[in-house]
Amino acid sequence: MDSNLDLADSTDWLNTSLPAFAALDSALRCQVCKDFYDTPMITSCSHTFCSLCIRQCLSAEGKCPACRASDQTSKLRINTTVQDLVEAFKVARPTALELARRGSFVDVDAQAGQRGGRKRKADNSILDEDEEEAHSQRRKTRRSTRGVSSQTMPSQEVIYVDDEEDGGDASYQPEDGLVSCPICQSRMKEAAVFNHVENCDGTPASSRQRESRSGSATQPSQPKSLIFSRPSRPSTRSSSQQHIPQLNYSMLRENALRKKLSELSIPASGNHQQMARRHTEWANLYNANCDSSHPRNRTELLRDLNAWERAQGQAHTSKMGGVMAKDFDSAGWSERNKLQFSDLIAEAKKKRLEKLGTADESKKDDGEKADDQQEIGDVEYKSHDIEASKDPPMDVETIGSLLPSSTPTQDGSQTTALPPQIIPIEGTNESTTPAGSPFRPSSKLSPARKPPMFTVTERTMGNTQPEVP
Amino acid sequence: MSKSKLPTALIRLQREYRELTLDPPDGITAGPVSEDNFYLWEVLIQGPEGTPFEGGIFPAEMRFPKDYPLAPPTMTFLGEMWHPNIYENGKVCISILHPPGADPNGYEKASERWSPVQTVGMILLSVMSMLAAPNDESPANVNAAKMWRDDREAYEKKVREGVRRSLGLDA
Repeated sequence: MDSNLDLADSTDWLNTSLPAFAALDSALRCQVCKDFYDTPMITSCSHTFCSLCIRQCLSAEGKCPACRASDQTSKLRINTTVQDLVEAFKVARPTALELARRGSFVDVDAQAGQRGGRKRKADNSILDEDEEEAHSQRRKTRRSTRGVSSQTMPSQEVIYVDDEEDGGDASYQPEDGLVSCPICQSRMKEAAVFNHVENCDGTPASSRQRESRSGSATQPSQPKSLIFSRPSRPSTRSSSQQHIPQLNYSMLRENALRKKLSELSIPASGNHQQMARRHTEWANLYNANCDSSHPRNRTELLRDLNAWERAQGQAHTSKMGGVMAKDFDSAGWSERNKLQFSDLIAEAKKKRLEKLGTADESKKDDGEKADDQQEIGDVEYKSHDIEASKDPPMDVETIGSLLPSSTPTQDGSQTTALPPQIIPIEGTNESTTPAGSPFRPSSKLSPARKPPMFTVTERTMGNTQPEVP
Repeated sequence: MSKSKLPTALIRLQREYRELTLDPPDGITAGPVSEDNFYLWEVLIQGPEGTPFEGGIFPAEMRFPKDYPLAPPTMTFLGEMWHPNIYENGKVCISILHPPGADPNGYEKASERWSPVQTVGMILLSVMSMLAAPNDESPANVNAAKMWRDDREAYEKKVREGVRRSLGLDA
């Protein structure tokens, strides 16, 4: 399955004959998503990330994830060199990896030393065919950087690298009997240069130059692909695809924001915060797609947006979705949010203690009493909601918006924080618990938690057996 | 286009799991509790040598938010831990786990806090070094911090006892 391909990563190289490729492999990956760069963009602090990754980071924090320098999405520039590196490496990787895996039991040094001669004489074994192929890949790259590519099966990537290299190579002189202008590098007859220099505005006529040069330096079929591959980038970026500007959401009222979303034809449901987040994500997706050299269509982007929304656990289709749903996984829910729940309870308890003026009670969970809980549930739930909406981590706004009262919150935290005596409260809360979801976590959860933990322990401990002191 | 199939968080967590399995750092094992839920990991950390935690194996769990790696995971030790930077409920309080935006304690440098380029491996290594060298500037467990500062011997003794208890030995 291609899940294997999806999950291919730099560790693939570790036990092969080419362990050094692990570093190369990981250098071609985005540090945020750990995947190969997809439309790499360079920041003003010279770090490169996938377009979508860096846009998401910047819209969340406004800082470069690598060095934390402040940056803006408008300052991002596409890093075409890295893009071509990645494309070329992706093509070469499977073959090279296959080869490296097979060669893992061969003495690498000896192989490298003999490779040239031995291969020519070898039989038609598959190994050597592969080797030949991988080897020629390498040769091709080497050759192409010298600008004398004559490979039988040239690929676009190689040609493009070729072109890049030549672009910076001032010493290259095509033998066309012309000389180049010292200012703009345009090629012309020697006699015309002086006249030209008088009027030269310094804009390099690079496109003209490139075409003529690649025409002379490469095979006839190549300029064609060159012409097709090169202009595609600027054109996709500059034409119909306008970047979506960021909005200042706090300046927009809910209705204005809703209108904005409708104008963009994306779902306009949910509260202000949900819409703001959806707009941000859509802008990220859309703008990243604008940068891409292989832009996808709108339907796919909308699907991505939907997938993102579902992953965030707040599908726009059902505002009350999670908790109200019949098949709502109450155990999972309380399990997932256990930490937040216990934090909220601790918070509420602290406030209550302050109110009562009895600050001597310990913070420990065993200090909790059933009647405490009941009272907190009645008196303090408003502060829970406030706490919830302030707290940045995920799912919190879901708690805030999904739960009219904080009763499930209470239930969730009691699951682990409290001994069984709190069960009566659950009974009282049951009427308000949406869809009567059976929060019976103290009996349900703890056993469910334990076994996996042990399996992991057994499976993973192997090499780290405790040394008993 | 793998990105459109699975949430970014899941893909990245699977990758990190693979990397930690194939190339694990010394004294650390980590992985999802079950393959169904990659957002909850079980972690085992070996007590660093030359510290009172030496010889212990400390289970902990890590919970990843749905927007990981934009937001950091949380980490909670499952057994008892007597340490200035670990709450009594086991929650780890370390700067790498705090998002740069929120600085509840006002002492951490932004550069030490969470960033999406951080990985599970880096977090666990930070936690290991935290076990070896507590930061008592903003303790999560005030009593442990006090003890660590004022009576190092008692602190180490208490930690060692805890380690032995966790291994099922008499203190």
